[in-house]
Amino acid sequence: MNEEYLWSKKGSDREIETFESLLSEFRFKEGPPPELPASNIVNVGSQFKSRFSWAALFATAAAAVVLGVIWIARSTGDGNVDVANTPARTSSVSSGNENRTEATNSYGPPVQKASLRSLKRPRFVKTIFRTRREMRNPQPTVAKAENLTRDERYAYDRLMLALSITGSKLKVVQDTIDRKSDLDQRSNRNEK
Amino acid sequence: MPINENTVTCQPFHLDLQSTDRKHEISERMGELDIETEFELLYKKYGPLVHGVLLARLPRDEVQDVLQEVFLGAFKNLRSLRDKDAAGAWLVKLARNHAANFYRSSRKTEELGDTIEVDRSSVNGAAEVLDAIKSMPDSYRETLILRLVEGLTGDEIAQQTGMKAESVRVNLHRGMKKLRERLGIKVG
Repeated sequence: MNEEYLWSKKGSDREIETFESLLSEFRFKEGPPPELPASNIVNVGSQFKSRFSWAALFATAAAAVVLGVIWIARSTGDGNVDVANTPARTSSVSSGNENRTEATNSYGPPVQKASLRSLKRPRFVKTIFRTRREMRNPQPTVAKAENLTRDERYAYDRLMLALSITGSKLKVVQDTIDRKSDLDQRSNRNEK
Repeated sequence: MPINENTVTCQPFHLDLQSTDRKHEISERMGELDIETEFELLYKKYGPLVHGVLLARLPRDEVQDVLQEVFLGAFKNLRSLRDKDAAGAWLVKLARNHAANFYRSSRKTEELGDTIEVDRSSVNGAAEVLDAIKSMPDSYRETLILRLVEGLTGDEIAQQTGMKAESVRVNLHRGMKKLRERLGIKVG
């Protein structure tokens, strides 16, 4: 066997040449390259997916913000109160549904049950449920203000101050608008 | 001076833009190959290599289809190929993956009945040799097919597949020896 021919096709080797000519029918037949996908095709699937993912992201973020706001607002209200140690509040918080459960269930005193529930549930879950209950049985807000801590009281005062300032500003704006409309009416009459 | 048909007598040079090779040459000179031209060049240069790799692993009837798939896959990822010199090795890898996927995916095939007549007279000897090569270990059969079927030289095989020249030389030598043994050819 001619090694040189096998390596670089230089010279000749009858045996290898026979193999080459025999196998040449399986050789790659050069033709046009495969049809390429059209360049102007827009991948709708991926766009839809990306749009959807953006929408989902936005919705999740919005939901998180709303939940956070509710949680913070509620926890600054009366979230720190131990339900077990304040039977009066417990009874005021509990809804008609809970009363019904207590009436049919005789496994223990209602106060103890409430404290267990408060231990098991995360705070925000408790807040959401409480919010729904309060929507059904609204309580006077005065009772909540009494239970505020020092920091919460400070925050409450600042909020009230901010609201009063905003209210006064709005009043100024309203007065200005009213004055302007009066002036307009007067000028219209004068023109007539 | 008014310009009319008679005044335009000389043409500075003429470019045959219909010729693909010429277009490639011009594009290369300008240093800006659009992706389709690049793909065309890739197909032209590495078509035999990919065909050989696939022929070493797949049934003959399937090679052409899988070849198209390999090049379409290459086209999709052509922009990610940074080192153009490694294109051959990259395509070989793609071809091997596609061949492996071919056997992994459960393609339903129908066996041909005995009633179908096939003219085997011309194919017989060639098919026998090809089958003998395909029954060898991976490294021998791929190198032998690239050399004997696709007609690449040892240097070209080494350069395009990214293998060492010495490995290719050894594979060719041992592969030829094994081929002779399998075909029952005695060395004189």
